[in-house]
Amino acid sequence: MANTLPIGIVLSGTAPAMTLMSGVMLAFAEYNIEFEVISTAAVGGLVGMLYLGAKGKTREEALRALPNLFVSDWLYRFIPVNFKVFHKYGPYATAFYQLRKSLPKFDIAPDDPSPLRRFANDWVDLWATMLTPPSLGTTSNGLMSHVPLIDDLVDFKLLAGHQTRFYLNAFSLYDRRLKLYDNRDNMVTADVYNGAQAMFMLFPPVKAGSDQLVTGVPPVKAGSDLLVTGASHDPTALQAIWMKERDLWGVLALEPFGKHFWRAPTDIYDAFQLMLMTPIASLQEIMFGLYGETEQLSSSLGPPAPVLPRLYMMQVLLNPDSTRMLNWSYENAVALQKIGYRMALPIAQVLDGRPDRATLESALASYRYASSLLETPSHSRPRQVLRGIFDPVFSDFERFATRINTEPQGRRINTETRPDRPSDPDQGRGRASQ
Amino acid sequence: MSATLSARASTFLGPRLGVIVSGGAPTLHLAAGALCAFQEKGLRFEAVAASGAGALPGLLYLAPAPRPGNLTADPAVALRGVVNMNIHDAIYDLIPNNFKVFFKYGPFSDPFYRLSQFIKRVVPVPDSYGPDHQRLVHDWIDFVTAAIAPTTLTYHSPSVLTRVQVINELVDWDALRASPRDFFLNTFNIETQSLQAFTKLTLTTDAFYAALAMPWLYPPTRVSTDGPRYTEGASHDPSAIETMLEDGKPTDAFAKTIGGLDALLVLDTIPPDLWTDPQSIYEALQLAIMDPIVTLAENVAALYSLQDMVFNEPPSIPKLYRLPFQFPRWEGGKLLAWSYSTARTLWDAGYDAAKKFCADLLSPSASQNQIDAKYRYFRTLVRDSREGDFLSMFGDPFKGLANIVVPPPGQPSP
Repeated sequence: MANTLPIGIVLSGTAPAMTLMSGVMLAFAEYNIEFEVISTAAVGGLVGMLYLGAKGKTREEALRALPNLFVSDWLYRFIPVNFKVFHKYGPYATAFYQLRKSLPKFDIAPDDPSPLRRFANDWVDLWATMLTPPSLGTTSNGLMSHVPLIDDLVDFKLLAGHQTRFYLNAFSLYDRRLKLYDNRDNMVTADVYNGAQAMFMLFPPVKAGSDQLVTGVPPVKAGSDLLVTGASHDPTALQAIWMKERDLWGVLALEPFGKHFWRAPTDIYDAFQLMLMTPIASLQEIMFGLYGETEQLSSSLGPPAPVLPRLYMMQVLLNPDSTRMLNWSYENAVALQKIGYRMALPIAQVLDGRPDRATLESALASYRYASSLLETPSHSRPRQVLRGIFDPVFSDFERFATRINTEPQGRRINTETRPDRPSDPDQGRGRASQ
Repeated sequence: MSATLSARASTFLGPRLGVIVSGGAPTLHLAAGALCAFQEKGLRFEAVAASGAGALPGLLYLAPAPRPGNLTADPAVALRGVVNMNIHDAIYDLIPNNFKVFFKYGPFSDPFYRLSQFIKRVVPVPDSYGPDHQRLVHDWIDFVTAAIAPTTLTYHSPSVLTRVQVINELVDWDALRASPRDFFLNTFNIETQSLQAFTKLTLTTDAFYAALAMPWLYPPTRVSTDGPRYTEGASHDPSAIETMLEDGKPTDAFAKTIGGLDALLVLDTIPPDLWTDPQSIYEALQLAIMDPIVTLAENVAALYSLQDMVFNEPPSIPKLYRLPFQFPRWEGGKLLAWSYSTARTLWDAGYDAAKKFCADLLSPSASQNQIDAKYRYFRTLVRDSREGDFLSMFGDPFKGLANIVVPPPGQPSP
């Protein structure tokens, strides 16, 4: 059911939050909410695609099944690695992934804990993983390889034909800019998705597209690209909103996770994940803070201040032991999914009533990020940035917005690219990109 | 400061200058080269703000310790010696790891480091630019002692590396405290979830290591027994611009710290050369660390530069300048390597950039507009770039950018 006002949602890219996001989307699915825009980064892309183009399943079935990608709790205690999602580096990964699928396993409903049967299923997967011939060496450009998992989960034709605009960001190593892939014109493909997940070291960069001429006047060369995850550049997935979707009335988001990552590690594996996530969470917190404050101040000023959709944030209330958030165990996945569902349910119920503008503004007022969560102790860091280094900007935002959005007479706009920017990241290295 | 350069810098940039040394491993050598050139040319900075890997060159610039080969504690000599922290290429090609900087987890690393130092006294090597064969011998000794050092690393260890107190051999803490110039190093307090700055008066060995405690590499570190735990500040503000604000009231902070300066020179981050298809798993690891850090640094600097553009007519906050670095194209994929040749490439790029900056200031034909067009941060921004995409959040800042005539300090805009 479409909303009376155009509303979008951003699904930000932190892998451990996968089922938290699926829980959120399950609540919206339950009320048949159709968003105008779903903008995603990294694993948020998977959740968004399942909402719009699940393969052979309803969106509810597909989202509810995500905890099955996590590891049996019994097994995870001894081997705290998700070998069902992360596959050994090398050319054999895909073949052994296909082999795994053909092995006999118990059919377990996603919400059925069945510890013994889950253990048995995952034990088989573990052996398949162990038997996959390794080819990791010091010259490998990633620890793991992509397998065609996404092709089994998503119907890309269905996604392309959906009325909701879907964005997935990925960073181009050719252009050295964030690219926003959308579902129109079949731009979102399995390769693009895999590229959007390709965090350096975990996965190799992914080549997407091919060099070919596309008819048109004039003919356009649709070139290939070499992609890595966009989450290291825009983990909020808001860039698609401010660059392409300023006509939206509002955009929903999940609370950023800084406080859950900025802590002492519990073990060496936890420390490794914290090392990867700390600066990304910092970027996420600061960008949400900048966007939230900007949109709130802009909406009260009007032109020439930028027009930005309002940012509404769903609060993530984890249990006291938030260190478990990074666990890839089944139990944890289900717990996060339930939390996500509970977070989104009140908003889904509001949207279900197809409220008019005044009612919606009133109902969502307490979710407006800049005036609610941003002011809490959980987000002291973005507040420190806004009230510290950028205090002049946000203390006198009218002056700032007017000045930068007004073209002074006689001044030339600089539209060039940097002269020192090479076009090919492999230039001079004598190595073909994978 | 040399009289002429001093006068020119004062005219074009302002009388009191600060330098910003951002985080990220390649910064170490870039900044060392740049600061060495500034020191040699006589361009003086009244304050240094650093983050992460920028801390060491910043400290060597202000307060190097007297060492064999540098008994007078000359900052330029100390900064030239930074390249010695990297590994001889003949070894690095086989073992791509900097065992001279990163020490195995456990209590044995320190005594084995002392052992290698003892052995090397038999084969002395100058702090800087020594003969190649001596460098190879010394690095081989370091490698062997590092390789045979036992480790106590387990799954339950809090980090993979251990501190060895090398910094005390390089920095004269008393000289730092007595310096008339300011020093700021950022760190993240995980108890208050906020960024803090250590100053020249509060910086100690423990504080230095706390400010560089990147998760996984090192555990969160306390500066005092009951004090809060800190992690690396570069994961939160790698630009280090915010560092000069400390954590005080913004208005007071602007007036008290960076408000006392007329201009800040940011030593640039190194994209786009950084973003490449990694050639090894080790390079991929470093890219995973650097990728969001460089983005964060660029975003903060770019937005500050817009703030500079808007609120400095008349000047009220320090102006922001940027020192760009140029690399040979063929070096693009090697910038994260810890090899000696890479250290030299980065160091030379930093040195050349700073030398050129000084030459531009001294050029008889230099004008305010020319200097600003080349180095004023907001004048260097371009629409079709990663930074440009980020700044478009605030509307279309490129309407107000480019070819802006900026008045000299203290004068109103035209």
